[in-house]
Amino acid sequence: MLKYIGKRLLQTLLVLFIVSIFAFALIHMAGGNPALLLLPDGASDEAIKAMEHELGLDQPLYIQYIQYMIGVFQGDLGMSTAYKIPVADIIAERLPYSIKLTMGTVLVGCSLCIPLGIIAGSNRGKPVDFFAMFFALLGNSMSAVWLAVLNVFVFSVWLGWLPSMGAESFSNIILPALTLGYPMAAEITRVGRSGMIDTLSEDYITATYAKGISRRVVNWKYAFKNALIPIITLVGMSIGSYLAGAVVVETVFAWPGIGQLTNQAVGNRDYQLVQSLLLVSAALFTLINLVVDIINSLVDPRVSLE
Amino acid sequence: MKKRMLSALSLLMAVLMLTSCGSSGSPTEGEEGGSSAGAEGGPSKTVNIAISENCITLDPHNANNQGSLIVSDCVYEPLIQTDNEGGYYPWLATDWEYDETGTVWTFHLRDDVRFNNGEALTSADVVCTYQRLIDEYDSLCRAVELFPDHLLQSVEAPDEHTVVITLARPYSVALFSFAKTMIIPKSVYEAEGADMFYQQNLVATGPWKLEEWVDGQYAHYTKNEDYWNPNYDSYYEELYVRHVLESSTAVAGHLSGDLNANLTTGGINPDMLALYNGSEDRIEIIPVEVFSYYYMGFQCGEDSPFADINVRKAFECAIDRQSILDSIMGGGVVCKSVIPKGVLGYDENLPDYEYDPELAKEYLAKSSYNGEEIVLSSNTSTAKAEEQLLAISGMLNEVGFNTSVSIVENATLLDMRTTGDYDVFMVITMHGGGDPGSIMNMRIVQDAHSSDFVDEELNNYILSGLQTIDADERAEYYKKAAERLREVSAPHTALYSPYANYAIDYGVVGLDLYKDGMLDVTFVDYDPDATTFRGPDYAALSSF
Repeated sequence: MLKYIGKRLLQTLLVLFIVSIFAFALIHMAGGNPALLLLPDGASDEAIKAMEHELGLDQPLYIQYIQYMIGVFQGDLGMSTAYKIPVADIIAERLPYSIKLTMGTVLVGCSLCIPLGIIAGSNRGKPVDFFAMFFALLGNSMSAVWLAVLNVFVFSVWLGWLPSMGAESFSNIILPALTLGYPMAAEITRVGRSGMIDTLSEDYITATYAKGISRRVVNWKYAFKNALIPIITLVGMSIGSYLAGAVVVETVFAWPGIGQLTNQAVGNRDYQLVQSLLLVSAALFTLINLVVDIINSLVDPRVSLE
Repeated sequence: MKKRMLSALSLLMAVLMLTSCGSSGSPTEGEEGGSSAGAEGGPSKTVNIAISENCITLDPHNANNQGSLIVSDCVYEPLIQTDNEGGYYPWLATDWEYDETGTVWTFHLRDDVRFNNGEALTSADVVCTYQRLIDEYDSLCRAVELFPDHLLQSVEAPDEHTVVITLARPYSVALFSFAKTMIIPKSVYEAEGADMFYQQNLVATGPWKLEEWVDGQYAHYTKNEDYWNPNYDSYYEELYVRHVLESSTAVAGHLSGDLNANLTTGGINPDMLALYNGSEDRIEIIPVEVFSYYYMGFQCGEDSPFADINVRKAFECAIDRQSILDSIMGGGVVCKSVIPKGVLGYDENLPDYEYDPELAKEYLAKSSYNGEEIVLSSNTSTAKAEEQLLAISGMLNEVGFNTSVSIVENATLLDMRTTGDYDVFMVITMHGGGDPGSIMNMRIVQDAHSSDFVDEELNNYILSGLQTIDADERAEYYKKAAERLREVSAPHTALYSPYANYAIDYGVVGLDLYKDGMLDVTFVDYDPDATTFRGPDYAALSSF
């Protein structure tokens, strides 16, 4: 297992290296001079040149890239051109909010819908199955923006039950977590149901029935474990993308996570911040993937890490 | 059984971790930031105000966006106060005078002002502040904006309560610049430098004390109980300035009671105003006739179609400003020039821009324009940029132009304007403090947008106005400049000033919705008897 993890970490480094090149190239291809954003309208040529020098923008692109990567390996993600403080500090301040939102989303998505998917799969064609599929179809069809605004107006404006914005208390997380969690829940229901249907058609399940084991035990003890594998993969991938930032939902709910920060950084043409956000997001995503693979191997011994 | 216990424990832990999100100042929680009743049975002693921009820095000398200025202005104070409409009032300085050259300004400081760390304000603090602007001119945004071209020459303190500031040349809007320069404490600045801002150690003289600024969320203030000015004693004990970047969220938050005021930069989108229907008993919509105005800038270089005055005239005549204002912008005032109504030098007698497609065709027929494509550019930060430009493009194409529309990122448009790589751009701007001098100087005389248009007569009017201290005389120069600009139709053509609509709870008063588009929440207060909103009364606040 350790050998596998070491190999995957090396692969992760390679992925991050490629991502860093892409991030660097994309940001610079987008155009716009960040020095101008930091200076007042009508700043003199001398002031613009001085600012470009300060930001290292007067260096050739490959030198800028090398300097950036040297900093990354030393744990220095550079200075934000807009905030004028270390990028690492800004990300460290915002990342916990993304983690909290991700946890809330996963809680919403998994708590109801893993059982729902399993029950639907083991009751194929029955009313509970139709209900689960309708629920899944609805969740997959709604856009995040629409659902976010709908949630705000229903739960905050009309019912007055929950705050519409902010991130200061437990109640603040409910609406964004519901908004992100519902499409996730819908997907889990769908995947869980089809996984369960596939598993229940296996010969070993028929054999367990033949032994006289009750339907409940067969479903939850034997079939559930196998149906869980695609769900774990799905949840893992979702965690990776939510940690990387749920831009729309974070913006609508004024949730100060990585998504909102990315949105602002792109608008401010904050080169260093955007580059580092892309890098950090990619790192989180690949690490979560690694964790998912390990969990899958623990849940299902047939999945070999080697 | 064990497994069930484990599952239950896992769930409990997850909930506990989520609940550990903190509990400071949630808008719905009465005691902190919410709607709990005040001690006397009135509304909450906490006021929540939404602004649509994030704060980038707490450094009042380096703030380059409105979000940062609003946050730092609540704690820092200037020597003199202004209503941004040409009125100036004593504040940290009791009085001031300037010499016959208009370059040497003397300020006499109050002797009863203390910073919120207990230290007394002296002339050394003012010297420290202005010296910082001189020493770090190239790196401080406010130094360049308020005192362009190294205008600040020196600052001296003849005694503990007198400061003499010397300018390199007379500057007509010097008072406005002084009113926007926030005084920082020498002792803290010398000890910590700019770290004082990054560490949120905002030692200042203002009516609010910053408790915490959380990036992307809010700035939380408590009342400065030892505030020096007895004329301002807010009903509110706590103030939250919340950064709500999404306009629909701000409206929803206001309707749900999480917010007491929705101050979106440039006003609430007219399309969103209908959402406030039904809340008239609690919330008042305040339309402000602002100085800010949309304009289009022409690239007038040799190879550009706009080097020909007939093309520029045709362009101006082809645009139906009123219809765009009514149908897209939700109402406002059509401009007569780049000096809109309410700004010094506005000329009521200047003829309106004429909408005459036939005349536009005539101008175009006698021009050198050969049908080459003209790109109308704007940026994503400009409200309804695409709708406006599409409407304008349609009108222009009707009379024979060949135009297309391009909406780019803010930074990209800045770059285009700096290098002159554009045909026509459209943005919104405003004349800070109601004086057009610095904007016209920067954008026309200095040609900050590389339009390659030079008209000596126009430039002379602007420069003469800029160096004239007397307001009436200055207004005359600006009128002539506006008239000349209309004659040559370059480098800008003005469009309109839309109304800026803000939404504020009844009873909440003292927010300054400046006509130049800027906002200030420092003097927020509650008046149960107020039947309509009113801003701060600076004359009363400064009557000592």
